[in-house]
Order: sequence, then structure tokens, then C-alpha cells
Amino acid sequence: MASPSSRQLRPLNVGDVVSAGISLVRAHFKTYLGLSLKAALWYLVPVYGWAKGLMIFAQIGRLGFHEVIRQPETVALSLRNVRPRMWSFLGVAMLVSLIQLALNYAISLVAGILLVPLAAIGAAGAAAAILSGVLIVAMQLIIFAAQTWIQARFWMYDMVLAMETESEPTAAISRSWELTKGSATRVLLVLLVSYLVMAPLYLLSFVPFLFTIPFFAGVSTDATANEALGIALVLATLAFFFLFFFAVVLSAPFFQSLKAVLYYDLRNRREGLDLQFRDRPRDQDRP
Amino acid sequence: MNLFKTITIRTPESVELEFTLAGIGNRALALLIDYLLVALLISLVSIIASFLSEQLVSLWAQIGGGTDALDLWLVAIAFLVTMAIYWGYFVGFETLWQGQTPGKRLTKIRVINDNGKPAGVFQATLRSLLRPVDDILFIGFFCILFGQQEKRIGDWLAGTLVVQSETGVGEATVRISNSSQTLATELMAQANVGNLLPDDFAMLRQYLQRRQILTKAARQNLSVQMAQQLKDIVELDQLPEEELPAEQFLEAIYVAYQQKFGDRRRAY
Repeated sequence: MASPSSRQLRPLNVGDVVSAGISLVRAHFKTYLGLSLKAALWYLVPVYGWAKGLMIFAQIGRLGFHEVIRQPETVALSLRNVRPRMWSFLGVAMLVSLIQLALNYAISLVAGILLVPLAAIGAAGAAAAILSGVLIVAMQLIIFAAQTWIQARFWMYDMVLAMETESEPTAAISRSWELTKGSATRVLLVLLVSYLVMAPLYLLSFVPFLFTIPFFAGVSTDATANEALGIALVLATLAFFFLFFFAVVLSAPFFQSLKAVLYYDLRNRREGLDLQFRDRPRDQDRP
Repeated sequence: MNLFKTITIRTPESVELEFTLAGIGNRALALLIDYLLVALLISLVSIIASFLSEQLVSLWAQIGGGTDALDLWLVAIAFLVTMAIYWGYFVGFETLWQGQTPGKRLTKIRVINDNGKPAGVFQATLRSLLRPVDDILFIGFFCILFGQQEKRIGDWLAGTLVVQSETGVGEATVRISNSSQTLATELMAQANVGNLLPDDFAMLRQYLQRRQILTKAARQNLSVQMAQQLKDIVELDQLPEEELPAEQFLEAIYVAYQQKFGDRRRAY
């Protein structure tokens, strides 16, 4: 019998995707962190650096995917594969942001129109005010769900760009939409769980602003206090940028690995990558 | 590299069982679901209890007793009830549902003994008593993340493992068309269905269960590819009908094998 590990993975559930993403990062922590640091540094350079940074982040995803299918790629080889598409990463990223912006705006507009009568109900009395409050909160939740749902449907585009190098760059958007069809809730849950795991790291970067609070005390009464506040704010902002940069560098490998596993799993579900008969020598002594 | 940790357990009968460990993602998600349910349960009980205790206090005051001592008693009872729900939920479900709580059931994982047997009341109680300890500063989280057997402190003391319970994706039963049924009887006579290994049959069933969620193109390609491979395996020189749809052929082979050997056949 072939050992199960020689086979491709079966379809995974949400928890499996997160676990697999974490083991992927743990196994290749140094490599991915190095790439992530490089990408984040390139981000500081406008336009050219952005394209390069996005490309390197996608490269981490590509490396991860090749680990998942047990056909590892070297860093140099994966770079050679994604480099020709460098500008596509920036172009498609901008296109996706534009589409998402437009869709989110449309959702907010429709929801805004619907919110007016809901708010109007509240004027009728105390009980009606409670009802209207509940309805408005429910509406906000629906808006949030709709917008994250759209984010989930577009989330795979950079994996597609990095992996399917022979197809048109803009086709990556519709391909992401197609792959996540019927799996949007799964992608969403993965997104939510991963945001939860990474939230403390990002919250940490806002801590410096806490130290500026005492400086607000004497503001507007004397000039030196104003000056002190100004200096404190500048320092806090600098510290914030430093910590935020650190958080991005540390969390990006995790998100990209998660994406790699998810991309594999979505393809597996939609294309049956694991549905292969086992290769075997035909044995002669079979009756 | 292996993305999921596995563990092999040797039973006293020298049978080796392999389990896939649950993994941090599944366990975190299961805990999130369970804690949400427990919180919901506790808040529901406390709403009812607060109505009841208000009545009780006013009744007590009418009789003429002091309310200070009563309040203290009620707080103590509320504390005990909350703890009873928190522990009772995990102990009760893990005992009655063979190592599963609602969260674990949704994430398809279960608690078992180190020896592979289902966990009992004793293990469930120890695990849930130590749950608060594991929650302090995410101690349990890190134990699971870095431990070879993914055990939190409660698991170490109770001697339990959390593993995945095998479940399939797609439809639970394979739907077979009528024409494939008749084709199957023909194939049983013409082809060596016995050449199919149990693994191949399992793969065939996987395909038939999952075909609905595949994309159109993938379904087309895979069915043709699998049909061609199967045709070679069962040593069929020529198809019983010309222009036979690949999926119908796959269904027929599936039925033929099933009729000949049942759902399971031991590997040689």
C-alpha cells in the first residue's frame, strides 16, 4: 500500500487551512521572512517598488503552493517564473481595488437608502426606537458581510497571477471569482480567523499614541506645551510606522502561506487535483 | 514536508491505527464556537435567574427577613450555576457525544484516549477542569502549536489526544443513472473488474461524490481521463456502446465493482 503521505491532500476544512498555513510558515520561516522583509523595504520606493514588493509577496505564495503539492521550487526558480509579470501584479492590484471600491460604494449607497426609513421608524415611540436601533445594527452587519464577501471572492487574484503565468493577467480577476464560487463562506472564515490571530500584532503598533495622551493636558494654554505635544506626536507617528512595518513583515508570510494552501484547496475542490488513480506496475500474478 | 501531524497508536491486539491530529486551526475554531455557545447559554440562564431572584428578594422582604444575607447567597448560587454550565457543557458533550462538543462536531474533530479508545467521563472532567489554566496567557495555544502530539496541559494530565474524524466532501451517496445499472451487468461479464484495487475504487467513489462541485471543464477532462485509465485497468478491448459518455462508464464500473465485492475489499 502506498503511504497516504505520497498522495495529494484531500479537500480541507477551514481549520485545516489555518493549521497547514501555520506549519508552512514554521517550516520555512527564515526564507519567507527574508522575502517578506525585502518586499516591505521595496514598498518604500514609489511605483517601481510597489510592483516589486507585490511580486515578492506573491512569490512567497507560489513557493508555498509548490510545497503543498510536494514539488518544491527554489527561491531563484520561482523568482524567474514571476518576474516577467512584475508590472501585472501592480496593475491588477489597482484594478481589483477599483472594482472593490466601486462595489463597496454601490453597497453603501443602496444600504444608505434603505437605512432612511429604518431610522424614521424610531421616531414613533420608545419601543419603535429600540426596534429601529436593532434593525439599523442588523443592516450594518449585512453591509459588513457583503463587503467582506466581495473581498473573499477577489482574494485569490495574486495567487492566480503567480501560478498561472501562461494566461492573461486580467483573467486572474475572473479566475479568482470562479475558484471561490461556492466557497466564499469558507474563504471568509479563513480570513476572519487569520485576522483574529494577527490582530494583536497590528494593535501593538498603535501603542505609541497612548504615550501622547498626557501631553494633551496643557494644550492651548501655553506655547511650550503645544510644542511638546507636537514633538510627542511626531515621535509617536515615527514609532507607529516602525512597528507597523514590523507587523507587516511578520504577518505577510503567514497570510501568503494561508493563501497558498487556500488556493490549492479551492483548485482541488473545483478541479479535483487529488483525483488521480495511483500509478502502479501491473502485477503479473493477479488471477 | 507534512502539513498535518499524524500519530500511530498500537492497540493491545497489535493493530496499528493511524490518526491525523486535529491541528491548531480546527481546535481554535472549535473553541471559539463552543465559547460562543456557552456564553449564550450563561446569558440566557442569567436573564431568567435575575427575574426569579428579584421576585424572591421582594418576597423575602415581605416576610420580614434581611436582604443582605440573601443577596450574598444568590451571588454564590449564580457563581456555582455559571461554573456548572461552563464545566457541564464540555464534560457532558464530550462524554455523551464520544469526545465531541458542538464546536468539535462542526470542525470534525474528536477527543480520544491515548490508547485509541473513546474518552470517558474521567478524561472529559480532567480536560475541562484544566481548560481555564490552559486559557491563561494562551498557554494551551502554545502547547498545541509547538508540541509534537499537540497536547495542551489538560490533554497531558487526562492522557487524551484530539484527532480528526474522517469525513468526506460532496454527496454522501453516489447517484447512479438507470442506464449505468444495466451497463454494469454487461461490464461484469466482459471486463476484469477484479483488477481494480480497493484504492482505485475509493478514488472512483471520490470522483462520483465530488463531481457536482467541479467546474464544467475539469469534470469533462477528469471523467474522460479516468475512463481511459479504467478501460486499461479492467482490460476492456472495446466499449460496449459507441459514443458512451465517460461518466456513464465510470458509474457502471462503480456499480459492477460494488456488486462483485461490496463496498470494501481487503488489499492482497
